[in-house]
Amino acid sequence: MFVIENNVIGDEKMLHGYTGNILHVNLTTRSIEVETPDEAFYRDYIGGSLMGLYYLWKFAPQGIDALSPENVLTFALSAPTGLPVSGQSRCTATCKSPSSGGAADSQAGGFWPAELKFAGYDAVVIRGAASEPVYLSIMNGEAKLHDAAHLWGKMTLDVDNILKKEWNDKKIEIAQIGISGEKLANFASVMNMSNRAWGRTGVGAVMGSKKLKAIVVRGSQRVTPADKKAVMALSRRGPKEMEPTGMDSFGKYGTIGIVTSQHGAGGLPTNNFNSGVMASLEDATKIGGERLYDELLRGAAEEKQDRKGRDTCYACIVRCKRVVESEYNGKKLDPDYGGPEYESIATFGSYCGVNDLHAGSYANQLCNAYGVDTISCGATIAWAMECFENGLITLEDTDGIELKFGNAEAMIAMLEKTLNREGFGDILADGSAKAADRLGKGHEYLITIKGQELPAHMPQVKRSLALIYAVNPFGADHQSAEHDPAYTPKSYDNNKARLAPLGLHKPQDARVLNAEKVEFALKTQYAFSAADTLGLCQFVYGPSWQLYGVQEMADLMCAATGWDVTLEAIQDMGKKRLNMMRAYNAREGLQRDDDTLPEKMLEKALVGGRSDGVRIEHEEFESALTMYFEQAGWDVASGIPTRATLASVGLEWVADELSL
Amino acid sequence: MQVNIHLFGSLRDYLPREQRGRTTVEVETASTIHDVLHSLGIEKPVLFAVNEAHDNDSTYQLQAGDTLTVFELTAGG
Ligand code: SF4
Repeated sequence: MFVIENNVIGDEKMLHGYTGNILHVNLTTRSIEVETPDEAFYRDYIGGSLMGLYYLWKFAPQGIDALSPENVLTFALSAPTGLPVSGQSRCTATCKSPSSGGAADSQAGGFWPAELKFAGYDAVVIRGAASEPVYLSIMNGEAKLHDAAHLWGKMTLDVDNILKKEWNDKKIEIAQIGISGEKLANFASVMNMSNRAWGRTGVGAVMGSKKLKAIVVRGSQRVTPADKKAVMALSRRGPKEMEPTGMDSFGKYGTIGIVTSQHGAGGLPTNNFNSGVMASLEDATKIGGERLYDELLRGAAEEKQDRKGRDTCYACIVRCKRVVESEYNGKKLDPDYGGPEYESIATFGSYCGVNDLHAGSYANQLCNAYGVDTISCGATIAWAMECFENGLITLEDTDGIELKFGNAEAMIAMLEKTLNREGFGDILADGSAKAADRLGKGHEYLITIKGQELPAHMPQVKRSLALIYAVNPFGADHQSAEHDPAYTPKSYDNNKARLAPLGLHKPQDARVLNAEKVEFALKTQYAFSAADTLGLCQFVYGPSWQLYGVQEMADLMCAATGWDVTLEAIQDMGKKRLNMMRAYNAREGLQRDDDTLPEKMLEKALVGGRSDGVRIEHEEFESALTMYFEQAGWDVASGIPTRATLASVGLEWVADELSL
Repeated sequence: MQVNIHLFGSLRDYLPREQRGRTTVEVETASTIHDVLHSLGIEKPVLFAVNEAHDNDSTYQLQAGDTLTVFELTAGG
């Protein structure tokens, strides 16, 4: 147990923005210590993903099993976390990934990130593994481990309610694994509020392997920025930017609002990525954000859904989160489990060929209750459906479930089995890539990169995503660079105006992958990478359509820390994080050969709608890959960052350790 | 002649709320997609389709009974 003596964050004697405290918990020895790094460390490793990678590199030995006690799981914030401005309450979880064997990296919002800062810490670094289930509490600086036997095996919302009662405080914030994390499902998430997920890359399985059920935080300290007036000025600009940026609409319809336009553009992955459109526009409309808004959001019947049916993260004016009141097959949905994001309804909708919004919302609830990534889980079921349709698996394998595209009941039944690791569901619980290996078939239908299922944005119609999905160190990810429609001749003027200061002046067609597009991919990848380092929501801060641009990321860091941070410095922070992650992967044995696209995507053209006949060409992809490595300063043959590139972002020591 | 309009996302706000983005409008014969969008007040770049076919440009002349669907340009999310 450790109590911080100076109970003020960011006062005259300390850093601005940061607390100056990193909590280290060793679950094997049950020791808890506080590190107080100097300012140079914060300037070097900033926060979020970059800080997490630093601890992973330093503390996790090379070549470990991701589910062994030697893995290091870090939850890291950054300087802006907890300030009264939109989009800053975001935390990165970092560890070695059980699905890729490289770095795992996932972000979640909500109130937990800000509350951890208020409780006195910039990061929590977890090592070792407990022999019995435990949970960690961090209350106003005081950290303590508790027995969690009574929480093990319970749904996330039940755990939330039990802990709030035990602490007699409704305002505690809880990050926890669900039953799937306990059962080490490779796509297990860590949840907070029972509806916000550190969803991707298997961080929940790693937390489960440590028998750490939850981290409960509560604090009353506030963050003192270097320039409070500048923070407030940025905050006040937010409401004025909502309409011109289109973020008012984004908040109104949520991420799910893009289902219909994705269908219209031929980019809504359907039937395990065989098509970019559902059978009809009416089908897409049935699972679309407009319908969710009109019919399922809490308060919709009285047209009060904007007030009652939208939720937010700490201090964010966008309020894009859905609160759904609905039922599926006589089962009432609990609004506290939230409502489906675009990714969740696409995977448990079009990806599976299902046009049932109630079933999709129920699937989303189940995933949040058990703690799994909706993307990987839904996509894995879609893969199993394609295997079933093609006779690779039969009713005998599926315990009688007719696992055909479009069968909502079968989708839910197989989801329940997967979450409980029952029967065929046990095979699916580690994701489609491992399931194919275990079955010894179905590889030709996989939609995975580095062992991770693809999100629901299609590289065929947003061509730079083909590159980003392939090269991204933690597998295919749609939040690692800007999407092509922001950079076409037809794009909205405000998108183009934001991209120009990054040196991006030559908009291209969404379906080309030339040198200009590679430059767009890399430069916006740096911007997104910086957001993950600064702990910023990528709907609020980003290089084109978001509420604030990259310049405002710099302004916010200046205001928070008092440092002189330019737009170029922000881009360099993103470059540093990307290079460090790539270098970590190299250390763990991943190289250019792992930067591939699913075979199916290169072999088969899409069928139907605006993307009928569209396919990614091998040569186009390979040539873009080479251009990307050249522009990134990575060795073209191996895909590993060169010494010069690592040195350019202050990572000579990483080059030394890799013997470059 | 009459054409059907189906607007999505924030474009629905170009029609009264209770219409939820759907309406049928009377337009002059030989009206183009551009004309109809203009008459609705939609001046920004959008994605559209006529009767779910996608190979029309904005100079396409609509026929009586056509359904014009209009989407916002969306990048990520
Ligand atoms: S835009 Fe949405 S996800 Fe991002 S901080 Fe705001 S409410 Fe949270």
